[in-house]
Amino acid sequence: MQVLSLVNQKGGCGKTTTAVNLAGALAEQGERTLLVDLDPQAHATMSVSCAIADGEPGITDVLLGKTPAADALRQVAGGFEILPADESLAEVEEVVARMVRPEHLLAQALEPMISEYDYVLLDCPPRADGVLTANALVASQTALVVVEAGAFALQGAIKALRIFERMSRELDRDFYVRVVGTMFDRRTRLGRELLIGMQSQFGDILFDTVIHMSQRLRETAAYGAPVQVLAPDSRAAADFRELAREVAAHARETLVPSRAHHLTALQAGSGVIRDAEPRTAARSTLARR
Amino acid sequence: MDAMALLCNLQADGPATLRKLHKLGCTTLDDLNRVPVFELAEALGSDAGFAQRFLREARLLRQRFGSAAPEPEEARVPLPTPAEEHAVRIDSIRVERTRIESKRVELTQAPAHEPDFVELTVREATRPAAPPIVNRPLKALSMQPPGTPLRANLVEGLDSERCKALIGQGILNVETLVDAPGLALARAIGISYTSLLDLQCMAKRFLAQQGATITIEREGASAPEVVRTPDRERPRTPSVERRPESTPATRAPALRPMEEPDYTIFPPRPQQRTGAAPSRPAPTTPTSKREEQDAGIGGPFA
Repeated sequence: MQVLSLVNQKGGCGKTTTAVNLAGALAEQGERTLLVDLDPQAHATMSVSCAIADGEPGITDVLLGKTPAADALRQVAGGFEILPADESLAEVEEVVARMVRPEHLLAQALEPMISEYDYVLLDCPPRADGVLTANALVASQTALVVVEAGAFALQGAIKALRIFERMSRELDRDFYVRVVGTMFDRRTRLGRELLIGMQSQFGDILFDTVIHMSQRLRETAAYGAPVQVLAPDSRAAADFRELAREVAAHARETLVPSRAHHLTALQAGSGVIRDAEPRTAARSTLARR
Repeated sequence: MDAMALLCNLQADGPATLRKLHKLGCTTLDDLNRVPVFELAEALGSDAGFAQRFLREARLLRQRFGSAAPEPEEARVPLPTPAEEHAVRIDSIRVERTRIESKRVELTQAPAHEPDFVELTVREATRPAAPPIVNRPLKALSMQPPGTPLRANLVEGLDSERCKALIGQGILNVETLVDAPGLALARAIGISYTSLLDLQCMAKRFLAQQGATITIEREGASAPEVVRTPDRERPRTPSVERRPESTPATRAPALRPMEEPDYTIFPPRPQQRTGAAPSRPAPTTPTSKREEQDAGIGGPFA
């Protein structure tokens, strides 16, 4: 069982799209997958056409302890399940701030049912230092930082990694950090330079698979199903299949996470504390600017 | 993501290509640099042009990443000193001498198996003896095809990499480059069609400049012979040099007045008087009935 949080400080970098389609790809490969929507904008919920009607339980009720998580689950097209969210999730941060150890709420809520799944994906809001993201990091073994191939994304990712390092220290919680590049367009020089910059910055923690810019992925959000259902032969579906393969390989390697491994990963290859000095000599022109 | 994965994402379709390269045994950019183009094209399932571009991008990426992994200690072989080189050369000469000497001894000590008599035909008996073999320098055999051989920086745009690629495609001299089919050659060597056209244009210009005056040194001639190429091969650039001032010595001779034509072969026609109408021939009087009919005089309606 592997729990992954999809996080980044920056919004609009493809966290929700990656979460939904990665869940679809993992389910397509026969893995039992659960997607938890932790974003008050509830875009992941809308992406799979599972909007919560009045009176139906959601992740807000689960976090506040009103409903067991198993009662709020929904089966969606693509063969995976989702814990849906709505805008009431925004109020949770204020409510749980008065609780003791508010960052452990999600882990405790998922505890009874988490063993039934091979993969649990947590779609986080675009804030790396909020209570919801803290809940996700405590519950997960791997923080999957989603970085778009854009001008400011790299800086956002570096900030997020710094925050993770601090939270790891404060929460006394170990988790792995991996990075996935999205919205890559290799036809443009800027896109290629940004990917070289990402490789130079993150090195081995960057997944080999990069999600390409695709019109199909825009359509999936509108049609309410993952790309594996709507366009299984598309380039985007192939990208997510490759990413799912790599995530599975990562899960096999990290069955027993340990703090020592985590620290080694941070110091040796993560690029968390190396943003001032790139890890390799392959400095991109963008990095020099 | 390592450098190979980065290359595959930048130039191909990512992890799928990376798996193919791993199957080929390439795990680093250095490994990839040693793979022949045709082998890479076969492994990737692409054409040679794509494979060549892929290798070129790999080289560029490798340069960008800086020097590759240091060479292993055991792979480093120190260069021989001049004294060691000399000793090796002397040894090889000594070994060769010994081999020749032993062969000579074998031949001299071998029993002669000459026949008692030899049957010779009349032709063989009367054939003059072969001239003795003397040490004369052999004429150097040139394996180079005729024409100007390709080399790097011979013309603008022909760098060493392109030169190697062209030679690999059988383009050994500038003349062949000019006549080569553009699109197929551009695809084969992995450059754009317009780049190849530019290269061919530069090669044509080079040939034109070279071909305006070709000096041929013939054997036995006291001075080199200068051959002018036809005008169509000369450069088309218009000459802006001013002509030299004409002097009486260089001026062309004046035209002579036209001479009277010789009418002995074709005598001139008798000139007609101007203004006179051309005279019709006088009608002749019909002499027979047939002639009358022909003239329309006689006949059944007469």
